[in-house]
Amino acid sequence: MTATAPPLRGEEPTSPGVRRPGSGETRPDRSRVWVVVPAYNEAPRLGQSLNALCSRWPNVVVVDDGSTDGTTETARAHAVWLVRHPLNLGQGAALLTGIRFALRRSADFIITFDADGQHDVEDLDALMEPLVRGDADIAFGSRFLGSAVGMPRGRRLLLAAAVLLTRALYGIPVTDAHNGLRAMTRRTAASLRMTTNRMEHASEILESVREQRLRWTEVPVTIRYTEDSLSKGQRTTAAIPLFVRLLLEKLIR
Amino acid sequence: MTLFQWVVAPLLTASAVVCLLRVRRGTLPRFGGLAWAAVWLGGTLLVLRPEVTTSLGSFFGIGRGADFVFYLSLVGGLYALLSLYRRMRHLETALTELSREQALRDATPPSVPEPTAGASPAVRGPERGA
Repeated sequence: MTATAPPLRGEEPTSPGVRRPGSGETRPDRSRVWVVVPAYNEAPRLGQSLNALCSRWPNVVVVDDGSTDGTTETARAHAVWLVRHPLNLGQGAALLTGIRFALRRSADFIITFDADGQHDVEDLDALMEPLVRGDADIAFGSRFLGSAVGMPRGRRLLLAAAVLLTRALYGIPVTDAHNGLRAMTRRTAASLRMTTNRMEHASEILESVREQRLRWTEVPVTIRYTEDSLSKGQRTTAAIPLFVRLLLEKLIR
Repeated sequence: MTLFQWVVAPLLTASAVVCLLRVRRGTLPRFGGLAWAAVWLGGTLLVLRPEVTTSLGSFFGIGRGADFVFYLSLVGGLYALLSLYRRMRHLETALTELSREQALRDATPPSVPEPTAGASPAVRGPERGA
């Protein structure tokens, strides 16, 4: 839409990550990485995620999407930046707000990380690796290449269907179409076109990948389903209106 | 005349008259008011002379006049729905951008010192639930 992304800073080095001399290691300079955590009413689960994140990643921004349950206070108790939507706008909107924030803070790399404790902080380095090496513009976490602990059968079927649909619609052979764990370069983040506010953003990102011919890769990650995260998470039936909204978005554009 | 015509035709005519009166009083824009008056008068004509729709319909290859009107209203309704949806999305986008700007402007920095290398994770206060 009309949203203007902040301009890129001058010339981008092709691989802004810091290579440790002599070791051949490709670990990112973490001070140049921002982790974006969208959170809506995640107070019971957010603390654990932030504990793990903050111990290793210096730049974390929590986007509180108009929570009413103490998510704000939980976030404030940690060493994180806090951005608060005055209204509940949806996860896609929260992600984009966090990405904009990270861009304004001169992030070189941006990681998106769900607040509900399903993701594993241990996976972030592996996720960053292809970006730091300069091999990819965006890296998606895949629970199907990695592991999905405690995933209900219904969820597995739904995600498999989503993957098939994604391949058919966008021609991108991902193995996991709706994983909240991703890492991207600054340039990619600035060029993402995300116009919808809710859960359609995963598809929109893939569409950007196709349209802008971004170099993408998938990295095995672990997703842990708990009763708690499932109770808060998406209902399976939400997939249908989501699909309808995606179609409508194409119609009115 | 049928009962339907007795009831509906005067209502439509009255609507048209009201539109024209409001245009004269200046409480309705001239063009919009005249257009609506034309719509109501056209409706009156179709109610009083249904055979007009039939000849219109057969001109387009649709046998019954009522069917012709039905299709027309269906198309019109869908168009109206899509226009409304589009306007709603514009509003939603504007609201999102507004909220986003406010949120970014009011961003609050970490209130606890950033963890230094080797320090224990910054954990303050009891966690809720967990």
